[in-house]
Amino acid sequence: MTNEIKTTISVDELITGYRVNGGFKAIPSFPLNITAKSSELIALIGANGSGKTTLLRTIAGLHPVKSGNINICGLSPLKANRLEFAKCLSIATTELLKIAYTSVTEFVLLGRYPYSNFFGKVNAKDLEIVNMAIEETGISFKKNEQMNHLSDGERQRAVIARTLAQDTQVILFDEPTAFLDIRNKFEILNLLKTLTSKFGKTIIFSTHDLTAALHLADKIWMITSDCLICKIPEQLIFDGDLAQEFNSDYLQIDKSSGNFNFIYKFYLHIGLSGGDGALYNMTANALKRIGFEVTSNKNTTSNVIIELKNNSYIWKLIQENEIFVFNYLEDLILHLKIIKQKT
Amino acid sequence: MYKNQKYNKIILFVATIIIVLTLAVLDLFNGAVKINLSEAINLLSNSHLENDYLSTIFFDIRLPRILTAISAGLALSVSGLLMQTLFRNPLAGPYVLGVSSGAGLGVAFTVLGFSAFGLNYIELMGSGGTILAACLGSGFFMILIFAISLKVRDVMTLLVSGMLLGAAASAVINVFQFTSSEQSLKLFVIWTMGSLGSTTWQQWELMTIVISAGIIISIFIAYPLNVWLLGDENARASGVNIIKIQNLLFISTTLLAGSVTAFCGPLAFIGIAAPHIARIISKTSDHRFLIPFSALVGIVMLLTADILTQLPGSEFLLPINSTTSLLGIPIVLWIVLKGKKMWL
Repeated sequence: MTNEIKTTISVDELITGYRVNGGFKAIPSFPLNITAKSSELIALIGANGSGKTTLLRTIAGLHPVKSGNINICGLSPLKANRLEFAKCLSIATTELLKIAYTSVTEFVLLGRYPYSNFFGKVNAKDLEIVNMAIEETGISFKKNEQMNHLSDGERQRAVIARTLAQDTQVILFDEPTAFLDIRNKFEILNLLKTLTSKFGKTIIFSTHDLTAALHLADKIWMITSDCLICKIPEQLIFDGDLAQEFNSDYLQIDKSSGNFNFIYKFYLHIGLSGGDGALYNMTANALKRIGFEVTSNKNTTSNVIIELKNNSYIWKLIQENEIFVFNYLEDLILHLKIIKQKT
Repeated sequence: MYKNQKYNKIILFVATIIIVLTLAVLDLFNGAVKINLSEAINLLSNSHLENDYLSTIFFDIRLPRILTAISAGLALSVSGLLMQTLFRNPLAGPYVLGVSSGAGLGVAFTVLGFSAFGLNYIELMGSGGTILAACLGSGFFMILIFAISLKVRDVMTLLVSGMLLGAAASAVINVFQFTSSEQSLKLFVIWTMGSLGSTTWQQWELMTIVISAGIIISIFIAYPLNVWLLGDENARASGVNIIKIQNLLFISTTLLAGSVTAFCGPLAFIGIAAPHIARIISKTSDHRFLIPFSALVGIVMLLTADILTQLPGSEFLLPINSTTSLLGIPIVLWIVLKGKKMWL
């Protein structure tokens, strides 16, 4: 629909934060300079307390600005008429309560508030937009259902439908995928991605789910302790920004693949051979998880050999002169755990 | 489908109006003195006969009582609904949160306070003074309980705070009672029992004017209140002017709860129960429908309570406060037992 890419959000030397004991605490502690364009899905990431929610609320005009400027499609969040501003930016915060006695359609209709008259009379255009929003978010099969009868995933779709009905260029979501299972998480984020490309919207969502953010977002805004990094996901991984922020004794981010590697503490060595690719890998993973460094040569004191016997796999553990045979991987792991505890 | 729901609501509305009318007629014929149908028609068709005792009972006692019940039921349930939305609390209501006690304090201040200075309150103030004092008292307590609610977000803690406010009001009233004259003390004690039958035509008119003002304000904020149910921040982001709506809600609740309490005394539990029954029956939280519909349910409840005070065949006249409590408390208990599953 909109082929023209334009700047929708520009933040200039922004300082925001909270009053603490009479003083002022800036969150984040540095001035923010950032822009966003149309047709962009932006993931806002950062550690707990880094100021993700505060930034979203400030952009939405729900939080006072200490200094600096924000421009949303030509309007300033704090100075603009609230109804006019509500026509260019919508936000779904986590405070959305479990509302009972409201059907999905009624709930989505509330998104039309900035456009309606004082008594909220519904006209044909409102109904058309609301039906479109319900259709786009895939919740039409529940449109007469009460909100409190929906599952978490369905409710999140209804919330998205409401912001869509508000018909704004910019949409902000505070943790839209918290509490969702992995399937719903990816479905919701894919829905947001579709909306950015189909309607040219700018969507910013905060999240703690790095994997989902890195795979689906067009851009990542990462709040670190001293700056806000704004890059496409691949650049962020390649430049090592992600590794610098999130690497620890237990987790390493691989710069070449973008994979997350868990770091195990190894106490003992064990040899592993046999089996096909997948079974070998899973056995190796299980051994690493309980603290064995896996090697493929048989020089170590204990060795595991995976063999095919009578159409099913068995695991042979050869330890010094003893041989143990296991029919299930679980039994082998249990046995090794006991040995490890003894040593 | 959307249209279908609309028709259902209209049917519901009309059915409730029919129930209200039926109860009003029943209440009109209910009382110690029996009036049969032909007498009633006679009374209504002839002009007001001065010395006829039936006419006096009919026009000056029962009719004002029923009209008072209608006005009071309407006002209490709408103020309860508004308070439940303001506090996001299914158990909010003018009685439990101490707003009625605040109105009582206002009345006590005028009725008893003036007599402490040797002044005759009735001559000095009249009905207008009572209503003003009650509204000031309820408004003050409304602001107090709201200030508390900003600190405590917990449903039960807020209710305990409301009870404490109520207790504080009665403590102050007790002090007044000690210093007041016997005559005004009697007047006040009768007032605290609550009554629908002691309002004169003139008082009813005054009360209804104030209530109408409250209702008109509530209708003006009905649609923004729907958005406000989504929470303060989501409402602000949708363009709702929260401060303005909140102030209007304060004024409306104060006028509604204050004027009823001024003339009928504290009437318990109608304010909590009626909006809930309305929500459960209509399955909506749309204030544009709930305000008029809760009002009707409130009227039904108060008329029923009034009929129950004077059980047919019984000579006893129960206080109205007991029958409203007996009707309302089971519903409130049910809300408590349903617990956190039930939100607004």
